[in-house]
Amino acid sequence: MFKIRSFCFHSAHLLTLYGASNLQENTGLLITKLNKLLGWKSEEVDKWASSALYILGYYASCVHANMHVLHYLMTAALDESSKEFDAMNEWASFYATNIPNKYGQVGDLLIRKQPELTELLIQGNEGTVKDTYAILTGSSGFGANGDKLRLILTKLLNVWTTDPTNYIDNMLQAPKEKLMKAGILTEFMKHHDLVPDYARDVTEALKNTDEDKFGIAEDRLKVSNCNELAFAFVFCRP
Amino acid sequence: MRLQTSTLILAAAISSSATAFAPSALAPRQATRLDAGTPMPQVLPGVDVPSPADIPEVISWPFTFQRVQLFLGGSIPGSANVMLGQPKSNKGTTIVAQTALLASQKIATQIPNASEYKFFGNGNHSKNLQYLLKTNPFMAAALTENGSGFELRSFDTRDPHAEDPSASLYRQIVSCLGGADHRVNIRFDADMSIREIRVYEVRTHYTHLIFCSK
Repeated sequence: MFKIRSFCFHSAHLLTLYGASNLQENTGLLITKLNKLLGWKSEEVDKWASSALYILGYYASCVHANMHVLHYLMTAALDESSKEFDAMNEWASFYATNIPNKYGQVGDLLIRKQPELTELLIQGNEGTVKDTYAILTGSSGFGANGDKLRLILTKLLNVWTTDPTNYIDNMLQAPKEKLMKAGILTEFMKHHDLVPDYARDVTEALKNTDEDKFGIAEDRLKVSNCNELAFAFVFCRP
Repeated sequence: MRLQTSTLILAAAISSSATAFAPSALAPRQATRLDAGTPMPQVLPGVDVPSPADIPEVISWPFTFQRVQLFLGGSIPGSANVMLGQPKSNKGTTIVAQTALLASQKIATQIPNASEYKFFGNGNHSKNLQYLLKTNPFMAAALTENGSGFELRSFDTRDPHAEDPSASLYRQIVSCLGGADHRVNIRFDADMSIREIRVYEVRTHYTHLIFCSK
């Protein structure tokens, strides 16, 4: 049977005669004409949809892992900033004593920096096993380049922390109104729309409990980007 | 090889999710110290991992733990061996996993009209893709605008090699992957029906138009 892929391969060679800059588009046009004659194969659509699902699983896991990092930093910051405000600290410390585990798991199970060969040989078994089986960056996982991925996620973390009120807008790559019109994330946005009222109510309740201590806690909670890549919370000691 | 990896990923993902269902509530108060003084490993540059001494013991949550174990014990061993080493095109393997999961959870017997439910793992990947992109916020965030519709864009058709720091987050993160079959552009219309699929083959440097419906 004539394979579309083999056609692409050969026709692309021929099309180099017409100039490399137009290679990709010319190939595409020829294939379009060919397939209009032959008909499209639904199995191919299904196959590549499955590939997209695989990649989306990886992409979503990367963003999810980064959210664990954000959660860790936010809860640690809340705990630190509310040391003198018992009502708030009781609530904040509940998270701060448990969330670090998840950040540790991100480093152990999901994202590892790219190991160097000499490091692999010297480091011993534990590091090698973790590097190999790390779900996102391990060669037996999705196999992403750990160094490259960590830089992208660090930048993303900076965006999240410097502009927290527009978190959703910053994450969506298409205009929200257009997504809504297409019926995308309509149920999710109903949940999301509850957040501002909830945040306002909790903040008001804490403020009403002790306005002075609330003010101190709020003053101590600062977010700072040390430079383009390094990220840190800065706690302003009274 | 791909299936072997996928099985591992599935098992590991579920294992790590299991810990998410076992919150260590009311742990003895110990510090989460960012200024511990001793150098510690970092997942992201500038963000320290707390030293093991600072991490509190996980408090068991028997009911949740029991449910997670039931799922892991019932479905993973039953389906992993069947799926291992099988080609991705073999839809029968995902149905085995689905059957094992339903049997271990006894879900089907608890739902009066179970046959009318649409479970995942039905092999209809294009339908699953459209559904997940419409409902899952992680995945919907990957969509970019394209004319009157949307696109899942993992490479630039004019220059598939290009490293573009202004590209969408999805494209940047996908560019961290090596290997074959990871560069797929799928264009959707305003109703999220698939209109075009274009693939870039990393090894041969050619793009292939797989499907086009104008």
